[in-house]
Amino acid sequence: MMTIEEISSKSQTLITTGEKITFLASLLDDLTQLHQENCVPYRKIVESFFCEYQPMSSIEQVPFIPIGLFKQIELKSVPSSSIVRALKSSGTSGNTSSVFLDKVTAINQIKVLTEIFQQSVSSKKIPMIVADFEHTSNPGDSINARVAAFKGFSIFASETHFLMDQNSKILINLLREIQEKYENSEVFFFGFTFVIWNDLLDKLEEEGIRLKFPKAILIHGGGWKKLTDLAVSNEEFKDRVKDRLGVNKVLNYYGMAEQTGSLYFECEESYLHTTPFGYIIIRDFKDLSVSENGEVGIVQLLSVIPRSYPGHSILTEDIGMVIGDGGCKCQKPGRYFKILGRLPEAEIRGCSDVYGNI
Amino acid sequence: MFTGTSNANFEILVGDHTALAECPQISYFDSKVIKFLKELSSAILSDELSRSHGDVVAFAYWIRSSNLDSAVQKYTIESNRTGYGMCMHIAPSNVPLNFAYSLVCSLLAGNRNIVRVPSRIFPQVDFLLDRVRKILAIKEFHAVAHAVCIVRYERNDQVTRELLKFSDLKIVWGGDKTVNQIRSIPTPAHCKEVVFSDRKSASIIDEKSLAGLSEIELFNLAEKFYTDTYLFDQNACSSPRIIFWISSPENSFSKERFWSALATVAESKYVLEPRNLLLKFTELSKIIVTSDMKKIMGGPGELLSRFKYSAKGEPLSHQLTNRFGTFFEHDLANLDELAPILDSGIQTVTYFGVQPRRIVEFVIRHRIKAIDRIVPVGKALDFDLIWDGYDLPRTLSRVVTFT
Repeated sequence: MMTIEEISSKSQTLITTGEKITFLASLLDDLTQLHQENCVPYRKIVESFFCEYQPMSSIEQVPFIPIGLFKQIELKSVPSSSIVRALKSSGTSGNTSSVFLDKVTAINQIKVLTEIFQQSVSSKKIPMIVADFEHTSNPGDSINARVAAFKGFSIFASETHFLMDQNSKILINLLREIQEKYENSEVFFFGFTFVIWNDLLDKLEEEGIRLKFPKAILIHGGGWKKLTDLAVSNEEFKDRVKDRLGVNKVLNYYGMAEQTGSLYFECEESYLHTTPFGYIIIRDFKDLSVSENGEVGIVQLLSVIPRSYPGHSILTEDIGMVIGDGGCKCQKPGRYFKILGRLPEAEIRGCSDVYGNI
Repeated sequence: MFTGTSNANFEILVGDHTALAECPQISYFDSKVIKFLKELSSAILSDELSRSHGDVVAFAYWIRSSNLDSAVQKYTIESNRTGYGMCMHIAPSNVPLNFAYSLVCSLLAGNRNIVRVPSRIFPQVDFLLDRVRKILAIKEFHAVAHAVCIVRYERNDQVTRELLKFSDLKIVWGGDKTVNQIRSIPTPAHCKEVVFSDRKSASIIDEKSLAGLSEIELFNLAEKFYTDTYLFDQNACSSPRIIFWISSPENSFSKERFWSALATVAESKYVLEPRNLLLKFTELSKIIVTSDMKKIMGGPGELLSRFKYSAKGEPLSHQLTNRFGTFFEHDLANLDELAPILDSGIQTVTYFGVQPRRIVEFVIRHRIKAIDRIVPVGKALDFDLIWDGYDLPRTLSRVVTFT
């Protein structure tokens, strides 16, 4: 297995998109093999549903498993004694998804995130201002995706400020102090898309406050579902951040708790870009065949990070579209894409359960 | 007096929720009830608008005149029956019209009724209730109207508890979770209960009989099997999830013919929504991981998936979580081999090429707890006054003895 550093430097020597993808495919093949050897449930699934899979064919041939499976069964490729942390994410269906990290995978998450952050945001540590409150947890505790995200980003922070008290109330005075101190310095704001919109920006509007952070960047992620329900577009989001918070550079990121660290940042053209560590494939709604660029379908995400659990290739519940392979106006190379939301809930037909929640 | 109206989501759709303790004004197989049902049936069947609701039409067809007349004939031999009084119905949230069947059974038995319909809004429920309201408003059905109160509310134990206070009888549909949930709500000590727990269903098909079918007959059978299964994503308790083949080595090709006919029917009719495709993928993976079952064919992107059943592990009814066009199958040399496989969670058996009488005899001979209902392929979803082994009009009424 190559280290993240080796992957990074090798990837830089490759010139064409084709070479880069072949290299990424070989890394993913290694992971498929690793998990087949060490995770019996995964091996059974691959043998049953991907019987034609052969390593070194193409990246589209890499087997994938449905994201819902992490909520149904424990998937581990290392002995329980090697697990240093369980990452929990609560899905909309109420079941909790568990991802088990060993030391190597946990460190690789940070290394990959660092590489991606340095390329997309800033190469030096700058103050971080979090639109959330400070969650406390002990080492070894299982943590949720929201905490994991800001803990991950906090490694790029020279100092950290939390904008909320424990009751999720925005601390307006603190925000004013921060503005005085950092008005003309590089800082980054970080928060969940919906929290920024609903808690931070609403509060500023309510109080009639307009701030100015001309050199700041706002990084947000966690999904558009709630904002799509409110019919808020990415453009409107950016405009309101500019207007109220006075931050001009707004970067949305996309990623899964099941592939923590492997993020995709938006470029100036508002497209998400793949990285040397992660890739996206769009699959057909009906038969899961690979969709052409420009076609809308189900998002499959691939990442070189997961070694302690078989999550290197996941079929998500998101809908997306690949725009192209190279050629984005932003000049960044590689595959660029858009995420268009989540698959709609299906109608339930028949008599399974009842009085319950429907 | 019921006070649950303080709940903002509590809606009375039909009838009156006051004076719930009053006795019914209808009797067992009351002629006014029969007449009301017949009128309801013809009102729906003659209404062009009802054509867009297949389930409403099926219900109207079920309460058509001739069907009711034969029920009257069968049940009114006993003259010493009367309703219990007030019956509360908890209908499943995801089978829109289940409540209507439940209500009809209880009205025939001579009870007053409070019916909770699904909290989710279904157009066919509103369509049906609109017709019910119109007919109940006719003066001659005053006594029937007194027996019908239909309500809609979000899951709320407090409201359910208030309603159950007046109940002499309760009917709970929808499975183990709901049954246990409703059981935890106190009811008057004398309140009877009829509950429908989680059930799963199977098919028994004879390979030799199958081999004798022409291509057209085979497709007809596949269409019927499709209706029993794919139509409700196999979620219905009476939808078969496993086929037991009475095998005939020289005719074993016939099952492949059947599956390929079924796949063709599914290709032309079935829409697997993307969300359900993902769910199917997850569920298939879980089967592979947690059981010894082997896939015969059909991955997550295909409409027909087959698994070789393995009896190892949990009871059959717990293993039958498969749906969205996923079938387990198992070869039998004869029916008797089935006895150790079945458990009390198995409700309906649909059959082809096997004498139903033989299946009844098999159940009785082996004294197994499984199988309440044996119907031909194509009839799995047809509701009957006898359901889950309960003769509903009789179960929902009492006998007054005299000597």
